[in-house]
Amino acid sequence: MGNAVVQLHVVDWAIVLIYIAFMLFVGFYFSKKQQGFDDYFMAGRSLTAPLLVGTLVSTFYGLDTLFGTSEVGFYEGVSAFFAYSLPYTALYVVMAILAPKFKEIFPDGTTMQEIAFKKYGKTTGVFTSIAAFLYSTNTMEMMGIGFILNLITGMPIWIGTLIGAVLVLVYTWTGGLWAVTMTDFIQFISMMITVGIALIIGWKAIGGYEGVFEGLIEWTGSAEDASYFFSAGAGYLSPWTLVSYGITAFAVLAEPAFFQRVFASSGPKEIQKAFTAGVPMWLSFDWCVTFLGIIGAAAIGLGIIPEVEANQALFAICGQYLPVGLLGVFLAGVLAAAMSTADSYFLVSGGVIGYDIYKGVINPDATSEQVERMTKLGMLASAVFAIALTFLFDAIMEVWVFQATIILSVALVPVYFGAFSKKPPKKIAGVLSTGVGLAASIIWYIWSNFFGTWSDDWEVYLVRIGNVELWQEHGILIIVPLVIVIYLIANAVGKVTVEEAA
Amino acid sequence: MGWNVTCYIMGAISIIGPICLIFWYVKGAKAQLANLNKKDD
Repeated sequence: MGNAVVQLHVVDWAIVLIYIAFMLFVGFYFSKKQQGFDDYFMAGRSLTAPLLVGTLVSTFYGLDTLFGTSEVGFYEGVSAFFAYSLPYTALYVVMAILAPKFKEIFPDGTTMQEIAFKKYGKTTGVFTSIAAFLYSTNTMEMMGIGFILNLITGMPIWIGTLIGAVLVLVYTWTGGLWAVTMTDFIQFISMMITVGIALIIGWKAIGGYEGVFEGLIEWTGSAEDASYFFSAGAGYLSPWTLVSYGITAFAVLAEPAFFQRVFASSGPKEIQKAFTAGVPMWLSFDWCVTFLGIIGAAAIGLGIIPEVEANQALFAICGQYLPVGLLGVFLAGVLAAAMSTADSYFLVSGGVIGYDIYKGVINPDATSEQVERMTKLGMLASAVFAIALTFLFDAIMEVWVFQATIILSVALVPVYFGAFSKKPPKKIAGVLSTGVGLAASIIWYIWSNFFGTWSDDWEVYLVRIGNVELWQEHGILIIVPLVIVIYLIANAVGKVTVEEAA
Repeated sequence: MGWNVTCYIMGAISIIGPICLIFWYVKGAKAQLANLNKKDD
């Protein structure tokens, strides 16, 4: 065991253990209440607005937001909020308008991929399902849980990763979407409240803006550099890279877990209410973690906390300012952030295997029990795949950009054109756009990983094409427009449409 | 001054928002229960 960054009191440990035991209890409780696949995967299609807020927010806000945004805040100040978080919020607002329409158009829908199957046929459906499976792979959260357990216990990251995977898998496997939604609701509350308390206590304790600014001067060496932390447009990344990260926000529009919640809701109005109530909370959460990162940098400057890595600053700050008991709640909240995202994606990727592939392609006459069993096996396969991928990727942000590229390149265009265009879309448009999107994304990442050069300065892979040097992250800027062009041309020249099943 | 106020407001939303959500959920659950009881009667 190595050195832990945060020392926990026995009371804090007790809170964390009670929290974990409670999550497992919820899973077992709901396992006894289910009757068939619709109950297991869709929570009986009866999710109301407050439950939707909890599950939507906590699904999309995982450790990447918690640690990623606070890390960017630590280095770049408020631009973490203005340049990284606001594009996502804008897309949540768009989703608030579009999501209820999907529920109206497909009242009996189950997954996003199902739209591709219905509108373009099996080939497009399978390509979209592969993208949804890859997108829903919990690599980021698995890496994150291992990282947290390493911070608090000093245990090796790979052991923490395995413990996290087993824990989340057990309660998702047993309880299905009801367990996921109820645990998400509790996890959302603990996650939000603890970052709010940490910000208020930390901000006051360090002396507010004046104290933070003084700390930043000490840390950066000049008032000019310190003021950079409070400049919204600041940042060391190039405009094109910012655009690439910004475009990943569009993944919100093709988010398989969002679609599952939308279809599992009790109606379009509940979805609208949920997004309206959720957006201010999303914003406040982003603000809190950004400023906790800034406080971290200032606290190092003032000598309040030791020199730690940027992604450890959030923990160090909370360890410094939160009292015994509340630190345990905070830690439970951090674990909650990881678990609430991981459980949702395990379920979604299980649904890809059980519902989209098994029932949609292999055995259309499968019984509800058979589909549920295959969904559970799909979850297990997803967990194994996620852990395997943790060895391939070094950085959490790298995984996210890869997954966002895949889902945007494959699913976004055919799903939206298919759902909203007045004329039936052409089969070939779906096949070509999803096929090219999937192949191009995978080839780009393999190529840049194995044949690109690693830049220590930027911590990214660089690919040189002629005189142009591209980041791995720029792939999304090339592939998505290409897919749109292919779709439009194929839809214009294609002749065959897929007749929707009645 | 502006940063101080905004930080406290955002922190407060982060705390109060989820608490409101609990009340919202309980209110909805109670209404559903009352409807079920009515149907049983």
